[in-house]
Amino acid sequence: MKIVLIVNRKPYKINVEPKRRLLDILRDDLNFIGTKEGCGKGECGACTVLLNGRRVNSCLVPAFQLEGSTVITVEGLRNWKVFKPIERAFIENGAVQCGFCFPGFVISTVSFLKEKSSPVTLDKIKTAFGGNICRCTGYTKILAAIQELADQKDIIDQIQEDWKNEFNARK
Amino acid sequence: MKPNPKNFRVDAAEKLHGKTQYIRDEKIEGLWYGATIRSPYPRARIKDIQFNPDFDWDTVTVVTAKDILNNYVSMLENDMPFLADKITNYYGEAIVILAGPKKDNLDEAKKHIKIQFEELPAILDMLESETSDVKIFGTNNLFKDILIKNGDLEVAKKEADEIVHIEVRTGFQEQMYMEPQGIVALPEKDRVVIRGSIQCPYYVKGALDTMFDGKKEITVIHVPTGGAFGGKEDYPSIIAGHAALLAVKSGHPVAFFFDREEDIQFTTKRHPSYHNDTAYVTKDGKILGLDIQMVLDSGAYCTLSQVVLARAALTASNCYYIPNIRIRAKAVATNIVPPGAFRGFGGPQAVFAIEMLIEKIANQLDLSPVDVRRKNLIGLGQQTPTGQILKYSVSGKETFEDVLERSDFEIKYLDFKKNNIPILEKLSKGEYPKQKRSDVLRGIGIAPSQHGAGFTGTGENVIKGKIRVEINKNGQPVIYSAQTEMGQGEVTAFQIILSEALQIRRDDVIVAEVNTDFVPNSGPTVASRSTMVVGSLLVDAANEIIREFQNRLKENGKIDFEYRQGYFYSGEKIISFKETAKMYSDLKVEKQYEHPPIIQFDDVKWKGDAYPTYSWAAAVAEVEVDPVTFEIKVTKFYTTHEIGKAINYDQAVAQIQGGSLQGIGYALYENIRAENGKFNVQGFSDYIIPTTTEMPDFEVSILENPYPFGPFGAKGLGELPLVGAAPAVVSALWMIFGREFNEIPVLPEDVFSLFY
Amino acid sequence: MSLMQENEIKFYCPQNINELDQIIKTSKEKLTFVAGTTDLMALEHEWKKINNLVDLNCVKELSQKIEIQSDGILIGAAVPMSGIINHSLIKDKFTILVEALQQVGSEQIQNRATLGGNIINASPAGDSLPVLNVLNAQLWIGPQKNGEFEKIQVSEIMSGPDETTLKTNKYIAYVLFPFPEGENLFWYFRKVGQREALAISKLSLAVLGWFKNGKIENIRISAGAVTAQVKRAIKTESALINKELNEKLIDEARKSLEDEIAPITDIRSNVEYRKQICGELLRDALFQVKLEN
Repeated sequence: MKIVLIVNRKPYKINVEPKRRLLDILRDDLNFIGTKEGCGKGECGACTVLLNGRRVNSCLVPAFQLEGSTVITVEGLRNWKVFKPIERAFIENGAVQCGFCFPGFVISTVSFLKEKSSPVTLDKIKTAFGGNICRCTGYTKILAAIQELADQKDIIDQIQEDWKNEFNARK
Repeated sequence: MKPNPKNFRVDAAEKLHGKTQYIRDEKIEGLWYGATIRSPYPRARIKDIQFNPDFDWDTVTVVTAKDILNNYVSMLENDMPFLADKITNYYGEAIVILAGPKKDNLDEAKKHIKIQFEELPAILDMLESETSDVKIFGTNNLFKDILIKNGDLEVAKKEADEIVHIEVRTGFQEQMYMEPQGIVALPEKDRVVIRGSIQCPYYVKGALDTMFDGKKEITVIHVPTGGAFGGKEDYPSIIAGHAALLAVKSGHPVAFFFDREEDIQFTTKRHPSYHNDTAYVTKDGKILGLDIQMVLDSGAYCTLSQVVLARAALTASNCYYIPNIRIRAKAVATNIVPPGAFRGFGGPQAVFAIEMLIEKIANQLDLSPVDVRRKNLIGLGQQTPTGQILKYSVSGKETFEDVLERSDFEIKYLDFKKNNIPILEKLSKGEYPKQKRSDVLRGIGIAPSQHGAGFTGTGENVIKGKIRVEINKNGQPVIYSAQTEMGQGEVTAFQIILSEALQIRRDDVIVAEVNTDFVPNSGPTVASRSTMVVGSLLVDAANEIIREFQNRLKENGKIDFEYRQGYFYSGEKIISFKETAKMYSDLKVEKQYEHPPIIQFDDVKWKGDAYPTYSWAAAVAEVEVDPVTFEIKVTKFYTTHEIGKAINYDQAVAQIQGGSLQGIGYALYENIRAENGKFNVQGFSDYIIPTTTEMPDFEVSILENPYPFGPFGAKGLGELPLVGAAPAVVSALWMIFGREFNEIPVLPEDVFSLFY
Repeated sequence: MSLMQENEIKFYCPQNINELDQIIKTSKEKLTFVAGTTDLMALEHEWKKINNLVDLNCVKELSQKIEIQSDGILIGAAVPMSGIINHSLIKDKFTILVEALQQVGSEQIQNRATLGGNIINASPAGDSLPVLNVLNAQLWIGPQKNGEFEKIQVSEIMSGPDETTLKTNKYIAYVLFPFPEGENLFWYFRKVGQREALAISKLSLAVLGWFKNGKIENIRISAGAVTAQVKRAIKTESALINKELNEKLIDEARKSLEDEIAPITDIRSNVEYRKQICGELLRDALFQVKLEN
């Protein structure tokens, strides 16, 4: 099946098997290796990407549904202005250990901050990140970084702006 | 507290950018995939393996036991084959391996291989192993039998006011690293290169050297590893062997990339345990004697079970001084996937068991569980069960008191008891338990724990870990060691240790890739030994580098140089470390570890210094139990750790949080059972590990009490946080219900069954 | 209409309902309808059963429409759950539905999974099913006949574990949630899983009802994961209707519900727990109602 999809602002025309997973298209066909596979069943969140602006487990998305879709992976987020402060928050909070789950957490962070309705409580963060499993950290430092980001108005503004830029860029 | 940039991890940015390349992220030309045909029986005789001639066998490469020169994985007992030959000993044991360029075709090929079995009687219950007619190992199925004695139990029996007895069981626990097992073998002319998600590259090298009988050169390269927790200590040797066999036979690089189901079903786990313990106590709770019997279900092959058992036995009295003690510990064979290393390595089982015994003592004698513990905590100058006299860095009492105070334990204990009275009363009468929507049962529990730092017994003196530091031409020291980064922060810690010892910038220290062609064998990355043991070699190396530079500067200028804050001084002459290092960039320093001579152990009689030192902790868990559903939740978790000195404070805290949550999972969620030898879980939806919604608020405190032979006083940390978490949680359940809890995981169904 | 062929599976991506119905009309083979694909992709073997796959995601009416009508809210069966969760009127009027959907898997799953999928899987543990039952959800079944969808109650579609009464080549187009007719509405939803996030239900209970003149005028009760097919607990409901709520009645209702269910033991829980706790949840629900009214 021939499909066209946009990944990190760039259109790709590819010929794939319809049941091929978005995860494999990203990793094996297009070389976006930042997206990881932890379970292949939508149960761990390591393969989380933004699909048409919503975070999904890329292991559960088949190629036949991708025609005309927009995908953003961690590689795409690196170009966002808000990526710097997000990176800084995670590093300063010592939130990263083995790192395998982390690209998924970064995607979820962006998605969460974009959708956030203020103010953010720790309980809200916990609920929102229930789909991203980490075995190393005990989550505390990850969530502290997210809380710190959510509490800064300029970060939220920047995310909204980056988001707009990202999606306008396509049109 | 403001974060300290010195503690920021050097690998964090790359990882969160998604740039770090784990083994599956590497692009390897012409890569073939490996697949495994496994035994469908817990124990069977392999009668015949048939290859259907209708299939085009030229499209794949197949290896069976008869293709292997030395068909055993070189470990402690060499009893485990790479591929089962005549007898298969567990459900899932590998019998045939195959590789090919296309996964679909491999699946097809598998269907055309028919193995004929004759099913044999199996041992599925560890308590039946020793007396079973089925012989898996030796004459009595014992991989190891340990007896440790100190004092005289008869004296304790005579003087005791009360005898307290308990049976305790702990279950399997899966490491559940986020990155499943992954290994690639690349064939070269007379060499095989292994790359992969590996905790101990030299273990893999040793196993493959033996398998090929030295006929192939073996290079093992560690690739960034997405978590291990012991699960990538011994197991990678097996699949590296499989990949190497197929790579050599096919001439192609071959990968074994397990999916989650294969990983959880067939790789090593924590040993389940059974304990039968008796305490002889005075009426005020002083323990005069302990008689401990423990059994570890060690599965079909020995793997590391002998050493796991040793640590479990040596940890059996936890942080308590027991004047008269007898510990009998056995590792028994069963027809189940062999358990292996997992963070804590026998410690969590042993500590859980004795902590439940302590709870029972308090319960039976109507004493406060805090007082019973306090009364028996070991202190400086006292003896462990092996007769080791604790001479330094002992903080069992200090950590215990610190965590009690920080958590307001005593006040909460009373408050929570009061809160629970009406709810429990109603529950016991079968009435609706709540008066208001928010009513819950509240509990608070405590457990001290300790972990012997470094290898057990004489281990360090056997392995004699070696490191090398070279100065590169930019004047930067480069560390060559076999220690691997798997998420715990080893690279950052090594940079901190060497840079502080040399008084130079952290960024000027380089840690070389772990490639067995270039790094010396500094020992495996296990046993909470990297920082303490290998880190101490880094400090030694730093001192020698400074001395050597001083010597060379003196040879050069005939004057003495003093070294301070990164500069060599002599009168008005000042030269920086870096400038000096650039001049002498040929310098190489090697250091080899041996215990200080005052540390002595006899591992035949089990006497002496079982560990050079111990790290200490105490945890308090606050727990809520929903009186309607009996769902259990840890809401707050206080823990105080004494690890000598935290090399990287922020990451030490991170280790403590992460390890504690794994311990909470061990206590309440993580449940695997082998049903007729087959594990009943497949992935994250049925093997329940904590998510964000299960994390408690962590309150961590780190005390310092330097160990004289560790770098800057540091001791081991990695495993300890897991060890004491489960008993603290379950202690809170004893407190709420006043009933015996003696098995983990404790599920809502178990609490439910107290009432219905 | 686009038609693509690969590996013997034919893929259809109809752009609207008419195209969809046309495909069905002309097809002589069995069609498989999918939307969020969360189950399909997690279960490799499911693919083997498929020859013709119709992607309802392509049908904008089904994958996007949430429409307020005079008698209720009409939701496309292929609308992702997050679309329902974040809809302000649904949040307001059907809080119980939002509550249930928020406990499905994770946000990543909620962004893909659909009501239609949850219904058609007919899993005894299907998270939305008890709530659909107590909300008296109506299903609009396609293809249309004479421009009309066939309308059935959600309770009519489930026929057993993982089985529905839906005939071959029929699909769920919409779910209509009628506005509950009573005032003084009370509701209760509780899912008990092995953990909070990413959990499959051990059991769940949904209750919806209302009082009139101090008596329960109407109550609907449906439990999940404790019966082969998720259904209303009719006997228990009738034991409560037109009664004043007191402890004795609550106890009778609890026992009645325990008799009405037939849970099993599996990896997630056991019979005894499921049976008893299901009753306890009803007791919890009714006591909460009693305390608050």
